[in-house]
Amino acid sequence: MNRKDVPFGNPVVLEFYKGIIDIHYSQLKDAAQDAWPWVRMGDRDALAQLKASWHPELFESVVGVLNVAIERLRFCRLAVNKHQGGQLAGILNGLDNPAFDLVLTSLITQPNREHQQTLIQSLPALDNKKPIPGETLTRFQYALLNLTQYLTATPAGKKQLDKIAQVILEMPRSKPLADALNQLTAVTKETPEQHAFFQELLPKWQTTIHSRENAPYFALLSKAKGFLGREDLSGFARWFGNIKGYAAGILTDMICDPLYLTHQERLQAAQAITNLEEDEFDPQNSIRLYWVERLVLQDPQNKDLLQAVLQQVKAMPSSPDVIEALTWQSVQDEARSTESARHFYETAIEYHANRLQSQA
Amino acid sequence: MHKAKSASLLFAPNQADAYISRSARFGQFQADGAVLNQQYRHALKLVSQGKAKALAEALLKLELEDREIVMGLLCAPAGSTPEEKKVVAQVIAQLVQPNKKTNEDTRFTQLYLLHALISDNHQDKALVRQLLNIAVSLPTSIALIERLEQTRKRYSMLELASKKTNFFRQAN
Repeated sequence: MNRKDVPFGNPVVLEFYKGIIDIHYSQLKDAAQDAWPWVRMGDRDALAQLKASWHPELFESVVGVLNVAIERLRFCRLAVNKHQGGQLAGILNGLDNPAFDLVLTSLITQPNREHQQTLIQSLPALDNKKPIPGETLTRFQYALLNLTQYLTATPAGKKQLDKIAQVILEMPRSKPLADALNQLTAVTKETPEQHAFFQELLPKWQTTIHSRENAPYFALLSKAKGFLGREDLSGFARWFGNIKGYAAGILTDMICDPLYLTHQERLQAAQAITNLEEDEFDPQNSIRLYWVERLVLQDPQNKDLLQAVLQQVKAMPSSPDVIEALTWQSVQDEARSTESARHFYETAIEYHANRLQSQA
Repeated sequence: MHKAKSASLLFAPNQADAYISRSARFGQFQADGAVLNQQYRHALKLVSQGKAKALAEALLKLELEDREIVMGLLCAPAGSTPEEKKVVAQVIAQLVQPNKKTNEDTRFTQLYLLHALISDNHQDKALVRQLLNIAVSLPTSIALIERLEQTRKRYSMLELASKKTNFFRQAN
């Protein structure tokens, strides 16, 4: 139930910062890539030439980036030797771009296959939540894009590509992952072989839903669909109330995701909100409001669904906590980019604010 | 003027400490205020004459803190006219010597002043373009990027906080 750190403020000011941060990031990345081979070869003359031609602040920063990259590559080798994909992902997630870029390129292009193998194993644990600063892709997407680009251009890369496909097919289904794969399919249009890889992978990933790791969640989802299909909303709420913790979060994400439930089933899910049991020990972290967020933000163009959710939101008791939670949801990118979602939140917030005022 | 001081408090925490300690020594504060007011008027005169280089040179002779206050006043909405702000932007660009490693505080002062200008004048397209060129021409460094990201985040959170405060004020 994480609240995203979303930018808020005048669009011109935000765009101003985004633009200059992107430009400086890309300059730093290019400079680090220029210096990287000379550092690895220990060519002091070449580095001295770079130092003379660059601004001192840039040179100092590039040296900093390269030192981090060299140090982290050492840790990466340890993870590779132990075939620890999760550990490798942890190291990569903790790196700033452009050190991430340098380390990733080194891992992909190493003649030793172990590096690529462990990198492939690390894919599910790479960050797929927010884009790398200065890039439009997340770490997961960036690694997947670069790996597949390298392997499709390598004669012996086919086997490794199959292993990547296998790892992706085993990953839990979610909208962010579907979006990530769709985006990669779109951005590889200029490279036909790489594009074909994603084109083949996507439908398989969408239909192969019963992977080993996800089987328990799909069993729960199927049960949930049963309740919603029969319109047994109180039965559904009682059953859902017995599912706790992490599983409840995953199941909520799946139930509210248009990937898994039909429009009609999600309308029923919206109707069930009021029946959901709140956690008396954690009233701030409202389960009902989390359902509202997931249903609205995962399908913000669906007006009928939004209308059904709005009825449930209006039925909630008004409080500053409800208004605050709705305000947070309303400033997320998905909510701000769709007119119907914007309208939904404006109406809901105004409704509770007015009711609170009249009760005061 | 008030706006410049509050912006200074919001975006430069060190500056805020200095300000509080000055307030405690009120007599000193009044004296400082008179000097700064005189420096601001002198700076405004140079700006109105379009003498960006002369002003930058004069400002570089001041203490960093005083330089920031005088420039902060010029950047404030009522501190100079829209046309004068374009000269102020040129001064910001000239506040450091080119191709020389700059003290981090001086670099951050440049960013703070750029922010003061962009946040209050985002409707002036020509000025925004000018500020963009200045920001892009600053030497790339990790510290610069981190500072830009921090400022953007802080700006965003302050805007959100301000919106929420207004909202609750209206609701109550």
